Amino acid sequence: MIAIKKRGIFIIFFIFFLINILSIVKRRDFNFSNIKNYFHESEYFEIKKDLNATNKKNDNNYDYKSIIIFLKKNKIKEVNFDRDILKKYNNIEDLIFFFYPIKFNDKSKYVISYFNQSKYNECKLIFSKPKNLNEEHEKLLDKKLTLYICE
Amino acid sequence: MTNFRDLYTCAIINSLILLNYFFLPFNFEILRITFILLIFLIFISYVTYPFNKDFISKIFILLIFIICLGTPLNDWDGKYIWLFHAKRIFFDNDLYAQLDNYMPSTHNDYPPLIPSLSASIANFFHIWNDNLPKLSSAVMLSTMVIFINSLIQGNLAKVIFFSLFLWITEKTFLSGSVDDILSSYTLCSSLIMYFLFFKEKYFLNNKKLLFLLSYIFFTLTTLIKNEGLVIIIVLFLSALFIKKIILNEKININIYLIFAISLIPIFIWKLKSYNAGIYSDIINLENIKNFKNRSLDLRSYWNIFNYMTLNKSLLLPILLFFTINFKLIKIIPKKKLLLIKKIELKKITPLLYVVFFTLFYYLIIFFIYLSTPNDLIWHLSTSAYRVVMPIGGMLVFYSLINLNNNNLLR
Repeated sequence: MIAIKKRGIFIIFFIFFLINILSIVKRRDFNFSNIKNYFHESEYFEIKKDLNATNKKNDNNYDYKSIIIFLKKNKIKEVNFDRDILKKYNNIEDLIFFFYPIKFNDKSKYVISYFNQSKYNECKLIFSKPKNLNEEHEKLLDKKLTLYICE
Repeated sequence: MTNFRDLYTCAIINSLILLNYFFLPFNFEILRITFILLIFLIFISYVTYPFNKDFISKIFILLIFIICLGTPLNDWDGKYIWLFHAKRIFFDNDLYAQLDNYMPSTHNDYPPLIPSLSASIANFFHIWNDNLPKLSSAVMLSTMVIFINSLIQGNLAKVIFFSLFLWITEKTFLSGSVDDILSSYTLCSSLIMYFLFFKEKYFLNNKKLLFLLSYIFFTLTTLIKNEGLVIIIVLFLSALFIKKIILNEKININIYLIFAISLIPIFIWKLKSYNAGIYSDIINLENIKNFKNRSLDLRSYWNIFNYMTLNKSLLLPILLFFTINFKLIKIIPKKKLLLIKKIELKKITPLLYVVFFTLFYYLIIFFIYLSTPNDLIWHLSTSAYRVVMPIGGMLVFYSLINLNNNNLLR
């Protein structure tokens, strides 16, 4: 009798355990496709990879990772975000998180003027031409504009 | 009674986590990758070990890893504090990367133990990815499962404990914020502290293992989050008070030594933060003003009590604890506490230990909320349910330990 009772309690709590697991799965938006994405994302983040090769993946949309590759290649360590972005996009931490190791500095001459997060972990952006640039910056930004104009 | 094989497994995994933290400043990347490889191999061998019939813990560990891998990181704290710190360590290849105080809103004073493990996992896979470093949470939570598995006998008590633990930590479980990990490490540390002070005899032939576990768990708990340091000190003082004042017994000098040594890494971190000009925004001298203002307002007391106590993370564990230990509680009102016979006192030692810890910790948190520089309601609604989780986890475990003929703590 005691054994049956114990088994009953065990089954009840095991179901409770599974309900809790399901609740966590639902709360955290569990999806098996996330596991697949690891390998997809890893392709993007080969910094040594040629930029042009990365761009061929997607003709129109350039995600923030390819921008970071470009910035790294050109030894740009800090960028600024345009006021419009900061107005539209309340979560500045999100931008800062995405762009690291490129740091955010509101005094930087390189200004990112467009940013759109259409999907989780996906975005596109272009660079604006900041005022008062020297020739070196000018060249760099021209290069950027030819590479990254999306709209 | 105690499953020493699991305890050794637990000690090895936690040692590797700690070694990874200690070796990070020296840039031995290959060594850190080896540590991570060993941790994963230990977990694989634990789950696939055919002679271990504890299927509940195996299922739980598997589920933890699968859920962790298949969920994106949406939690603010998880992403912008913990994962961001990990990203900084990974890219800068420096444990102290956050000490330049870039983005102070991400709480650069928080200890970097979990970010260091996440960064090493990213090093192991050789890429940065927003999800893979999250495996650090799975590794640390699974360690708790192995530790609890070594102490509780029978699948019934295990399934009850794991289901209740999941229920009270559901909001933060595998969310990336470290409150679920802190709750589990608080529980493990409290048990080790209990063994160290009151039940050393269970480790009669394995005293070195007990000392090793004590050092590792106390150090890791202090390095998880700022609250960890408070928790370890409160646990130590609670046990010390019971042993020295109530039971009037001598204390082994080794306990003091282990306690002191285990606090060194967190004090090094705090010293480095202090030198870099980084302080906690919650605890500083200016908060005395806030405390003075709020201490005269009764609504503040009610609000703090309401948010901290009337939630499922604490209310259910309190009810469960006092219902199950009703028989033991009945001993106390008969006589004054100090006049109870020593044998009777020893029976209620675990009860006193948990009650003292709960009261001390609760009061400290209460005081911190009274002096918070943030808006009180906002601060309470975003964090109160999380900071009481370590108490909840402990109360649930100490309630269940007397069930199922488990006389471990008697």
